[in-house]
Amino acid sequence: MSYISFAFLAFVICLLAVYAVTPNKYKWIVLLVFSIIFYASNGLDKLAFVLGTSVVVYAASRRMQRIWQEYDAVAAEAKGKATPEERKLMKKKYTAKSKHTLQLAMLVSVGILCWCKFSLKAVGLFNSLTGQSVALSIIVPLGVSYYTFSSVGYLVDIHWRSLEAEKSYPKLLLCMIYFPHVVEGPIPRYERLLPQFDTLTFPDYDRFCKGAQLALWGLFKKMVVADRLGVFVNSVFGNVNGSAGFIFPVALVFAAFQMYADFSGCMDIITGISDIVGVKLDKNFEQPFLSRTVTEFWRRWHISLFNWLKDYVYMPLLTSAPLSKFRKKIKKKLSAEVTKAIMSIVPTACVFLVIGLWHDVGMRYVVHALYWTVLFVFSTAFEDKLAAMPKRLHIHTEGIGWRCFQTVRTFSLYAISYVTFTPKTMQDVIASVKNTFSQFNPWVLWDGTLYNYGLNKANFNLGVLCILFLIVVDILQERCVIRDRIGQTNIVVRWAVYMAGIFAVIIFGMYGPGYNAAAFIYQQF
Amino acid sequence: MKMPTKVIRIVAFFLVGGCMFALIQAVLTPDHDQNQHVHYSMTSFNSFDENSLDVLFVGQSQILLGISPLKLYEDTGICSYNLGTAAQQVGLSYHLIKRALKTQKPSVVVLTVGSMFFDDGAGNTWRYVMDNLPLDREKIEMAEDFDRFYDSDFWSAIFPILKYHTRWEELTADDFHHKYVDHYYSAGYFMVTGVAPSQLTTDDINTAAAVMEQKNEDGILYAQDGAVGEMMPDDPMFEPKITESNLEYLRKIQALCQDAGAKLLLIGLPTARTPMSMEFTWVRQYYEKAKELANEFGVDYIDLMYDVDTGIDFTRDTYDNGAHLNIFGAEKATACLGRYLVDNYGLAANRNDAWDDMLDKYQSLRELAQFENEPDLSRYVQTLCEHKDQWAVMIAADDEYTSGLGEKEYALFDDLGLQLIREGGFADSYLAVLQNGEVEYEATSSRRLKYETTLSHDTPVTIVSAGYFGDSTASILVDGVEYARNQPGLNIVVWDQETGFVIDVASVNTRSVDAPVEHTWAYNYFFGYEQAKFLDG
Repeated sequence: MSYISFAFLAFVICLLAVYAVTPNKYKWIVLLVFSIIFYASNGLDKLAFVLGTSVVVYAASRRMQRIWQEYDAVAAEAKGKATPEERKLMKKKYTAKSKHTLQLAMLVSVGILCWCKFSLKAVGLFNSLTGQSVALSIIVPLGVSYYTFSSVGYLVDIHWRSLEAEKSYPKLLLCMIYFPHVVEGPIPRYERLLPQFDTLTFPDYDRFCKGAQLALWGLFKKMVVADRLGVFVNSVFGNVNGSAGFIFPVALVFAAFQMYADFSGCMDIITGISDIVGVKLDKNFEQPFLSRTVTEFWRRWHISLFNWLKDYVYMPLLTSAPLSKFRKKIKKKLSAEVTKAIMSIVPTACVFLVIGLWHDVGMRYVVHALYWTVLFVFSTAFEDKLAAMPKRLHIHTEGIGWRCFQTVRTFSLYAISYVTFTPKTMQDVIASVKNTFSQFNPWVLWDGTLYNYGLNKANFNLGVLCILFLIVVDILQERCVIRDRIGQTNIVVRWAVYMAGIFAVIIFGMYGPGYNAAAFIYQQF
Repeated sequence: MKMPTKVIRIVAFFLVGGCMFALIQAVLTPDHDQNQHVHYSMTSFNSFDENSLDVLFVGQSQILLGISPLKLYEDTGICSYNLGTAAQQVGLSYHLIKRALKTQKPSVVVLTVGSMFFDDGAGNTWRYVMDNLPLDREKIEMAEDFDRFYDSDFWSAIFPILKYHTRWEELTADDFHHKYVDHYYSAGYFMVTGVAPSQLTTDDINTAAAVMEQKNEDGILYAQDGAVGEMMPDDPMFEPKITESNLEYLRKIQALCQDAGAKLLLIGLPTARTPMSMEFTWVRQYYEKAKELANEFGVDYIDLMYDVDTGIDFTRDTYDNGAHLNIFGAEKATACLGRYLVDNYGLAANRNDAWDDMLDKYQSLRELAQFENEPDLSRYVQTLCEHKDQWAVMIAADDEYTSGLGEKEYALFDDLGLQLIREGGFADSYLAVLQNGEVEYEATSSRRLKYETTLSHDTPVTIVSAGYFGDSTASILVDGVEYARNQPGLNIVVWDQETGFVIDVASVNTRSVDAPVEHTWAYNYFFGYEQAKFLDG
């Protein structure tokens, strides 16, 4: 069931109908049942996978919880009796016990994730190396990486004792497969979700309106903007040798906005619906294209994934024993900046490699990771030096010009990275770069050539208008919450905005017979 | 906010939204009727009183263009309606009959048997009809069948905006008004007045079909890499075939008619194209099969090509080289069918004011159609004389106009008040304008002539005439558009003062002894006039 289908609309209406007649105390059960239905609509076999993983996660979390309870009891008893060494030894023993459980659970859940992601590639590699033709068909559970990441985070937190394990298995399952976030995230933090399930209420008029508004805005972004730009992007990158020169920069800008509109559009749809049922989801995007630095960009783009990686990959690696030792070693010989740069290389590279692997296996993702690692390390390590530069050049850093320059620069760096992301193979990536520089043809920007890539003049211009509109909305969103501001206007303006939104989607949306509806891009990851 | 306010707001929101949706959908859905010069709409059907129609005609374009209910009324007093649409399949006929029977109780339903041979390939012909029908239970059933047979999108059949929303970029002024050309006075019949002859006889087309059928068995020879082999083709050249789904629908139509107490009559309609140029041209093989089918179903059958002599002459009675009848052919076919209906079903005349009024309109259009195609100069000029108060006539000579004209012809022009036409010498220019029953300007000269004036509706016109020695030109520019045929002889353009439309473009070929009038036929001459005269306002 796609989020943009009549079936999903009917699903939400049914959910609200059942929601209305269920006492608040049991509303979470309604959500669970509907989440299971939603999940099962994508295949019962897939449901079996996620149920299996959830049982493992639940069992492991309960076991770790018991281990730590046991430890607490033993430690309390030993207080004042045992020597510090004995106490240390005791803690080490329980930590190891908990760690074993964690490892076992991670082996299962991450194993399933790896199997889903890499087994086909591995078989392909095996076939190409040995000349055999081994066939393999695998079931990829819906949103496998999202629920795996979230549940691993949950287990690690219990292991670190920063979280208590949830007693109720159904609630834990609901956290994993809650239908708004199961397909494309945001990757949830269970500790923020669980308390919300106990305080669910039926939406009042305002909550409903606000949620519906956000969902409508998401639909607009997906159906009008992303899918329209996608036609151009696919036409250029689907046949990289069919174009040259300035077509590629245009396609990259379109690709960047397509991805943003697609992904954040989906987030807005599901956040809106989740708002209606009364569950606040984490923000995944915060006007990323208005970022002025690379580091700021990654704080605003796919926020839930980056927070997860920061907490469970970057920080553990940075504070790990081998790296700490290494830091001590080089600190004496090198300057502070260089030390900082060198120290951040490994964890940053790991973060971006995980992101790459998460998308797919392939050389182009390694290049993608490398590109971002270099930029990221450079900009973190030399933050102060870079900040001092405009002063030396007598640039007024608070002026609009400098701010625009920074924003455009950051966006360009992001858009450029799409050259490794959008083409389907490494060969296409190389061909794209080659063809970009093979011709200097700025006239294609105004001589009508741009209208030959799947979008005619009207649709291309509408695409450009949509991009501008998106930027304007993001700028306004920086200053205020647009939803609230619309809510404060008089009924004529308010309804005009709603109607404009609804009919913009109906008229300008890319759908209907003859249009092959595009799935959300991040659904596949 | 209080509860009732909320409810009112929600209801109002959906009301406003629903109205806007309907409005936007109406604009975005193409008016198939206008753009393609084919008749797909059922819009005028609902304007007839309940149970006022005795006969319904259904089927593909041959019946849409071949049977005229007003001619039937003129001859017999029977009130009928033509529900034919282009490439109408039997499934669609079924749904149209079903919809029609909601408000009418006809005694006879006439279906073109040619529809039975259509396969199920053309879903668009369903869409064209469905798109502009109001949403009701029948439309939903129709959409379900459409969805089943053409694997198309049910929802977009119900809400056409889902299919046509992409038309926002091609909207023109026409999409915002002039929807649904409502030819109520022709009772569904699509009047086409042009003539494009076919020289083929019935024997010619049957021979072609027989040869093609013979070749079904032959197979084809092919050469590949120097080797010559024989391959039997999978697709026969000519094969009259009725699909199971069409039979199923015919059964349903039969049941529908039985329940409604109406007789089902199958008819075959004449064509004069070869099977090569038109797959469903009405050759004998189809006729034989159709007769078998009628026997099998126990329904009446009359074939207007093979069973009776309608007197149709395909050198004059078709507008597209024998594929369809024009108004002259349709009148003959209808006259014949009318006699059959009266003789076999005892249908009584039901003459009434509403239909008499429609008949007046129909007859005036038919008169115009005859005028637009009149080859005889004396009859042509006579008609001009009769209408000289209503029409403006512009005449420009080209090359040489005098040699074919004698005293008899000059006398005709005398009646129009044209005196100087007989004064022109060999290869002279001649130019005349008649407006409001009077000669506004007339001149003949050995030099080039030019005259500018204004017609009704403030329409500027510039006329140029030049004889052979003035470089042979005849130009009649009406509102900047060139209408003159620019043929040697007299070039004539006729303008209707009331509607402000060109209604005929002709030339008199004075090089020929009988000086025939030749016409240029275009949809917009007739339709523009028709639209302005009977439909606008």
